[in-house]
Amino acid sequence: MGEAIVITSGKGGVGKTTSTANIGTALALQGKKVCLVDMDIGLRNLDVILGLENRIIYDIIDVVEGKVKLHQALIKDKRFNDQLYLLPAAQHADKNAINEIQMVDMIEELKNDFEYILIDCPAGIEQGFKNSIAAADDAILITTPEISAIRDADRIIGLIEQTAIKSPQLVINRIRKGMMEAGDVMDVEEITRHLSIKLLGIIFEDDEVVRASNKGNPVVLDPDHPSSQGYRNISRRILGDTVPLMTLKEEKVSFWKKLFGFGK
Amino acid sequence: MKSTVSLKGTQEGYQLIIKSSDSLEDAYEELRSLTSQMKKDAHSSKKITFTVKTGLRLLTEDEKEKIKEIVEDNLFEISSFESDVILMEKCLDWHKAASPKLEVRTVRSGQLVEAEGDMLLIGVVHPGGVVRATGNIYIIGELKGTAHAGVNGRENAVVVANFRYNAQVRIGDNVHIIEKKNQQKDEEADTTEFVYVNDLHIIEVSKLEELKDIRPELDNYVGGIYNG
Repeated sequence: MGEAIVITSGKGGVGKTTSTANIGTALALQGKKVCLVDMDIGLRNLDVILGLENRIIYDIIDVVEGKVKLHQALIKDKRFNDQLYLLPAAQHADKNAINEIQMVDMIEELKNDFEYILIDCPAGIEQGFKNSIAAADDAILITTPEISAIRDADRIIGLIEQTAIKSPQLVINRIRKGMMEAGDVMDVEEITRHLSIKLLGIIFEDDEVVRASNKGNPVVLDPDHPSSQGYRNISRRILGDTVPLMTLKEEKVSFWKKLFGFGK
Repeated sequence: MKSTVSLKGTQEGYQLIIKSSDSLEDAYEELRSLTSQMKKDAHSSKKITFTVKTGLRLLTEDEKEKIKEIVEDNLFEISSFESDVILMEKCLDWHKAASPKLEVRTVRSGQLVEAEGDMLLIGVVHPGGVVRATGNIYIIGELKGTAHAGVNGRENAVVVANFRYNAQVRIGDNVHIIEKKNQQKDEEADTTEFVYVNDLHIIEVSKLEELKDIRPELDNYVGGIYNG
């Protein structure tokens, strides 16, 4: 039996889809069988970031409407040896085209074949959000150090607490070291304390994330980038390993080392 | 002769004490003979009132009527019945009304925590979270959201909290905005205060030391139960 994890944030643009793609890829790299489910019906992106856009034949709505079997709609990512699959969202429908019960049935079916099912939740708290959390066993909450994202995350935790999901875990994304060190934004500890949930990992702001996503390759495939390391650490923690948190200071040291390395 | 009913004079007046271990029929009998005896002995024309004490016995309305019938005439009157016991139902209602509702939790953005009567919240009210009570609100922790006391218009309600962060306090229909400029720097200072509505119906923040003077009724809150 697999585990279904919803990746959500409340606010848009904090990196839910990017994180879903990268955490999913990282889990696949660890040898797990993973299915990514894009719930952002009408505004699908997960396929683009994974570079699978042109291979969509059937989508989640076709499955719900009974046009095709679930396994027919799944797209296999050829970069991995039968480890990573995507269930794409429909682009021609909206979030109300599917309900919680259908969602639960579908995820239950996926659990038979996959070890991890990552559900990419749309922004907002409407039907799309309700569908996404209905079938999840666990939740990963993505926020950035911005106060608006933190506020929305707080609201989402409140909503998740009312469901059967155990306590959600926090990922702080797009951390700009300089601003955090200068105290312009809340630091990791403050954010975690304020939201009072368990911290799963932190990801530093990294241009490479955008660059890699634009090419359809999740950044986590290239281990040399700090963001990639962050996602790899998160996947290892999901698997139950104890991995120390990347700290701002340590990052800075390695950064200078890198510079000197180039200098020589 | 065993005495089921005894008469006692106290500073507050006369008391008719009915022993709760004896049968009520015996009590009626004794009351009859006692009152007829007293009526014979009575000299003044001034009305005498009695309090009937029933000890560990609760009387029904019918039984109270019967006792009144026996005792009362143009000279005697029963002012009240008092018992050392009350009904479970009444007791629970009273307990509910008199004891603050204890909440130990984080109130997150978009969440609403409500209470009948007073509320004691141990935890943090996040921005966008609301605590609401028909009575007073006491917060041990942080208030960064909204606290609304005296929801049904009880203007003598108060909100006691550490007003260290931007927040909003409402009492009845009055609204007070708490503005704290240097939220980060202030963190060490303990600023436990209370918000109340003053005699001019203006909502106001005051120091905790003044709470006892402004709302003296708060510290001997007994719920105002009527016994009997």
